Amino acid sequence: MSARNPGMPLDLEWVSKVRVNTQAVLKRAQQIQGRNKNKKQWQAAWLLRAVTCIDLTTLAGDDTPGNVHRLCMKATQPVRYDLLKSMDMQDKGVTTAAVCVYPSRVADAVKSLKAANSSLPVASVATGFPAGQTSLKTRLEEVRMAVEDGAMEIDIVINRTLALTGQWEAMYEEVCQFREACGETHMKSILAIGELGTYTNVYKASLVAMMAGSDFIKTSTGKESVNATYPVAIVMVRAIRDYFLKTGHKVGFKPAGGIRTAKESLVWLTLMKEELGDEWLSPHLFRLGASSLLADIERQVHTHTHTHTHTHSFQHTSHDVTDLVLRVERLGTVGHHNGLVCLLVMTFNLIHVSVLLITTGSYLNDLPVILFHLPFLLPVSLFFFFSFSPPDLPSRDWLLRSLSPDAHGLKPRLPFPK
Amino acid sequence: MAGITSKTIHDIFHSMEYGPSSSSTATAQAWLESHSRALGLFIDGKFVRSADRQTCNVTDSSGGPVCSTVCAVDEDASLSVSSGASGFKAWSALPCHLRAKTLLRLVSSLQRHGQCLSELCDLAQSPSSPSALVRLLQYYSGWAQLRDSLIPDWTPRGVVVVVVSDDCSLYSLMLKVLPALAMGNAVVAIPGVGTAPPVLLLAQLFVEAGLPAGVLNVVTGSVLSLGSKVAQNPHVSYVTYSGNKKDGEILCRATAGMGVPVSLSLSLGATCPFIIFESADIDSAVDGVIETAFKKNRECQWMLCVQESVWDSVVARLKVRMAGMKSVPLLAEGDRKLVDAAVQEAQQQGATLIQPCPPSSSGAAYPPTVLCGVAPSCTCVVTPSPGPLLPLLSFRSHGEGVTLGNHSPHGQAASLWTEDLTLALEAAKSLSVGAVWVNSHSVMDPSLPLSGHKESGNCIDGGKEGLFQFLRPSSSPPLPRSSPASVDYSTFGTAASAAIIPEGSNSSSTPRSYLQYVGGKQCKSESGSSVCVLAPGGTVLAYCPDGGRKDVRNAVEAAIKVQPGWMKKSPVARAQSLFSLAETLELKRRDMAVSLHSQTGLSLEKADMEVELSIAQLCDWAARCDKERGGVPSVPQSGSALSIPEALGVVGVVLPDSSPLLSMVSLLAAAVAMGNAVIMVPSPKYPLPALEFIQVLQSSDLPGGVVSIITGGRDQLTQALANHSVIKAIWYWGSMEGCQFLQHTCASPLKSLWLHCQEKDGVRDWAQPHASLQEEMWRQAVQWKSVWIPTA
Repeated sequence: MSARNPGMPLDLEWVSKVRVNTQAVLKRAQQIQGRNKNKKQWQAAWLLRAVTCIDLTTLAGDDTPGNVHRLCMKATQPVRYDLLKSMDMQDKGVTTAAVCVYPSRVADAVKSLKAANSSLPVASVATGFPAGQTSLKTRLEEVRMAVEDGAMEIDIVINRTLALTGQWEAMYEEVCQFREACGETHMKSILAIGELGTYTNVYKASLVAMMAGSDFIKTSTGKESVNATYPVAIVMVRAIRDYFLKTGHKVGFKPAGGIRTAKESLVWLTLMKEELGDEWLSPHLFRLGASSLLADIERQVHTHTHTHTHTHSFQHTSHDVTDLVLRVERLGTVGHHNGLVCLLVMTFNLIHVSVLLITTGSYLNDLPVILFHLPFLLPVSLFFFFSFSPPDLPSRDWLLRSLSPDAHGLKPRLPFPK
Repeated sequence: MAGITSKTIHDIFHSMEYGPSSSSTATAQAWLESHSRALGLFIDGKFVRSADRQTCNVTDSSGGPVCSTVCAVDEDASLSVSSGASGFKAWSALPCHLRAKTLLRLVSSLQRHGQCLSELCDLAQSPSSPSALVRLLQYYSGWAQLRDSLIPDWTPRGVVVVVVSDDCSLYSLMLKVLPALAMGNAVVAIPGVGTAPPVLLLAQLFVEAGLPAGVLNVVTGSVLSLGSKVAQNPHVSYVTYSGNKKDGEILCRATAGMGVPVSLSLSLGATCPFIIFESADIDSAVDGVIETAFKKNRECQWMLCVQESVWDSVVARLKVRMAGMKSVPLLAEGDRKLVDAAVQEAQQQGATLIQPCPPSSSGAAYPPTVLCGVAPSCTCVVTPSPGPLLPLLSFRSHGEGVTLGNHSPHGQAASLWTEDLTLALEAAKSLSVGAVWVNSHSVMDPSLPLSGHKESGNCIDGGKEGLFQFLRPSSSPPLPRSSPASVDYSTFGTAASAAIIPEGSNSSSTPRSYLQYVGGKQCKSESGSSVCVLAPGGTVLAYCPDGGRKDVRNAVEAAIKVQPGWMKKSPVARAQSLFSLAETLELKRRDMAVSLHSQTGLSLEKADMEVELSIAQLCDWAARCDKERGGVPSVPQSGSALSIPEALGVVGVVLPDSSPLLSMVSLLAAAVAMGNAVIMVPSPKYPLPALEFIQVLQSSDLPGGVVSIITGGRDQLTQALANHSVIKAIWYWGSMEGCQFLQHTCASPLKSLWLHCQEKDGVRDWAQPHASLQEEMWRQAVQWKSVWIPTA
C-alpha cells in the first residue's frame, strides 16, 4: 500500500453540513449499473483487475488451519495457469490483494503464505467482529494480538451505537485508539451500513472514520441483513472524494458482503472509475471483500478464453458430467467444435460400456442390465447423427437434456477421464 | 476491427479503459433497404413517391448517407390535407374506446419494432428511446378512452398540422401528434430532416395497428415553407409547432391571416437555470450537471447558478468529474467559430475556464467547458452559443438565486437543488418557468404539463391541460378560414379616428362626456381628444376619450405595480373582491340597464336581464376563484408532481360588440379571478355600458390598476396592446385584418392570442353560459407550471 491517511482533527461543522439526496443517489446507482458494456478482451482484462483487488475471505466458525491453507494457496494462484497463459498474463503477478481471516487464524495464514514464498498480506477482522459489542479494552487487545501475529491489515468495526446516536466525538476517539493500536498496520473501518439508518448517517460515519485515520472504509461485515449495495457505495465514495478534495489524502474503499458474481465485480470497478477515477481501481485504494466471487470470475474468464481466443485445454482435475454439459453448451456455440465434443462423449461412452462389462461379467447373460443402460447409449448415437446435420437443428439442446444425470434418475458412475 | 484486436488484455489491464460500444444497426438498415433507401411521403396510409420530386439526404453522425426523403411540393401538401380531411371523418366517427384500442395496438407494435426504431433514430441523429414513446402512447390511449366521459362538450378541431424544426426531437413531435390523434383529430406531421425516417416508420406501424388511412400523414421537406403551404389549405383547423424560436416566429408570420390558430412551443435553445443552493446534495447536483449540460443534442441551454458558500466545492467537483471527459462533436461545421468567439468573450470579461483538455486548434469538436464567473449580462448567457459550454454564475442569498434564475427571457424549465423543502417550494413558486425539477433535471412525462412561460412559447403540451389545444367547445364555432389580406403591418392602427362633428344638436340634452379608467382613476385620454358615441338612431349620445398608445402604456404601468400583489392574494380574498363587485353592480342595476337601453336600443326588460346575467357571471367567477386548482399528476417514477395554474400577468382584452355589458363582465371576471390584471378596450360601437361600469369598479375594493378601461379606435388600441412587451395575452374580438395583424405582430415578443372574428363569426351567445365556454375562458386566463419533486 502507498501513503497512509494521517487523519485530521475532528471537524464537526463539516460533518453537520452533510446532505444526501436519496433518490438522486439511487438514480446514479442505476445509471452506473447500466454503464458497463465491456466485451471481449476488455471484459477479461477488467475481470483480472477485479481479481487483483479481492480480499479473499473466510470468516466462518469452522475455519481450520486446513481450509485457511487452501485459501492462501488459492490467493497466490487465483486463476488457473493455463487460462492466464492463454491470455498472456501468466507472468504479470495476478494474485488476490490479500487474504482475510479471523484473528485466531492469522498465524496459520501467515505460516501458509510464508511456506509458499508469497508476500501477500494477511488481513484480519478485529474489534469484536461482527457486532462490535464487546468492551473497548478487549477490542483494543484483539487488534494488538492480530498485529503481533503478523496481520498486515486490520478490518475494525465501528461502534454502531455511537454512530446511530450521533456521538461523533466518541466514535472519533475510539477509531483513533484503534488506529494507534494498529501501529504501522493498515486499518480498514467497517461501517456496517446496514445498521446506520440513513445515507446521511453513512456519509457522516465515513467522514468521521477517515478523520480518525482509516486507510480504507468498508461497507459491511457481511453479517448484516443489508450488505454492500451500489447506492450506499456511492455515498461512501463521495465522502472519500470530499475528504480527498479537502485534505489531499486518498482513502481506499472496500465493499464487502454479498458480492458473488463476476458481473457485480465489473459494476464495482465501473463505479470506482466513474466516481473517483482510474487511480481508485488498484488494490491500494480498492478492495472487494468476497469469498465466492473468485470462482465465478474464473468461470467467466474461462468462457472468454474459450469463446474468443479459440484455445482449448481439457486438463481438468475434477469434472463430473454436469461440468461436461456446461462445456458442451459453450462449445456448441461454435459450430465446428461439434466433432470434438463428439469424440469426448464417445470416450466417455466407451469407458461406460467397459465398466458395464466388468461389473456384469458377460453381457449375454444379463440382458436386463444392458437394457437398463441403453438410455445412456442411445443419446450418444443420436448425437452422432445430429452432429453431422445442419447446425440449425435442435441437436444441442436435446443433447443437453438427455445428458444431464437427472434425465435418467441415475448418478453417473465414473468421473470424466483425465 | 483492427483497432480492437490490437489492444492486448495486458494493455487494458493497465489502462482500465472502457471497451468500444458496439451498436448494431442491422434491423434499421434492413427496413431502409426494403424502401431502397429512398423514403417517400406517407399519405393516405401508404408511401407515395413521385419521381420528379427533389430529395433531401439524411446523414449519420459520420456524414455517411442513411437514406433520402422527398421534398414535398404544393400538390403533395394539398393532397395530404384532403386525405387528412377524409381520415378525420372516419377517425372522429369512431367511439372513444376504438380509438384507444388502436393506440394500444400501436404500443405492442412499437414494442415489437422498438429495436428498429431506436436504431433508426440513432442513424438519423435524433436519439429517442422507444420506452418513452411507449409511455406516451399508453398515456394518451387512456385519454382517448376517457375523452367523452371526462371532457364532455368539447369536440376535436379537425385536421391538425404538427410542425417541428429540424433540431427538434422525435419525443417532442410525438408529444403533439399523439394527443391530437387521441382526441380524434387527423394529423399532418411535418418532421425535421433527422426525425423524418423514424416518423415515417411510426406512421407505417400506425397503419399496421389499424389507424384508418389518412388520419396520420407525414410530409417531408423544407419545414418552414411546407408548414405555411399546408396551413393554407382551408381544411386545416389548427397548427402547432415545436422547436427553436427563430423558425417558430417565421412560421407564425407566414400563417398570419389564414384564420388558423397557431401555437408555439419554443423549448429548443431556451436558457434554463440550474440552481444549486447551499443546502443541496452537491455531489448529486454535480452529477446532474455532468449528465445533462454537455450533451451533443440537448433540449435546453443550462445556466449554472451556485450559491457563493458552496461555490468552491461545486467547482472542485466539476473539475474532478470533468477530468476524463472527451470532446463533444458540434452540430454544424460553422459552429466552431461561434464557440471560440463566445469563449473568448467570456474570458475577456473575467471568466475562468474548466476544461478536461485544451480544445484542438480546429475541427468540429470542442471539449466540455465551464465558464466560471461570467456576469448575467454576458453574451454567452443572454444568447447562448452552440457547443458544450456551461456558464457558471454565483449568487449570495436565496432571493438572489431566484432573481438570477428569472433573468433570461426564456421560461422553459429550471432545475433546483436543495434538501430544504420550504426553500424548494418557495423557489418553485417564484421562478417564472413552465417546469421546475427539484433535485432532478429533464424529467419528461406526458402527465406533467409542459408549457413555456415568457418567450418559451404559448402552447401547453402534456397532461390534461395539453389536450385542450386539440379541442374546441362544441358550442363555439372555429375561427373562420380566410386567405391573408394584404395588411400593411407598419401602418395598421395608425390612422387617426375620424372626427364626427354632430349636426344640429338636440338642445334638450347635451351629450355627456365620459372619462376612461386607468390605474384606478378616471381620466381623460393622453391626447385629450374625444370621439362621439352614437345612439342607435344616429344621434350623438355621448363623448368618450380617444385613447391611444400612451394610455395603454399608463395602464400597463399601473397594472404591473399591482398585479403581483393581486396574484399573491389568497383566492378567498379575490373571491371576496368579486362578490363585492357583484353587490355594487346590484346596487347600480337601474343605471346600468338604462345605459344599456340607451346605447343599444335594447328594451329595458332585456337590458335588465343582461345586468342580471352579468351579476351571475361575477358570482360564478368569484366562486371559481378557490375551486380552479391544478392537480397532482401521477407519474411512473416515485415522487410528487404538482401542476399549478398561475396567472398570466397583464391581459389585453378587445371586447366584442355583442352583449356589451355581459361580455365585458364575463371576460373581466375570468381574467381577474385567476389573478391577472386586465386592460379592456370596449367596443367602439357600444362603449357606454363599460364606461358606466367604471362607477361600479371605483366603489369596489379591487386594487386600482387591476382593471383599466380605455376607449378609442379598436385598431389603434389593438396596435398599442400588441406592441407592448409586458402584455402576456390578447383576447380579441374584431376584424379579420385585426386578427391577421395580431398573429403577425405577436410572434415576437410572443403573446398568447385568443382571436375571434366578429364579421364572419356567428355571434357568440353570451347569455347562455355553457360549462365548456367558462372552462375555455379560465384555461385562457392561466398558464401552467409543473413541479416535480422526486423521492426515494
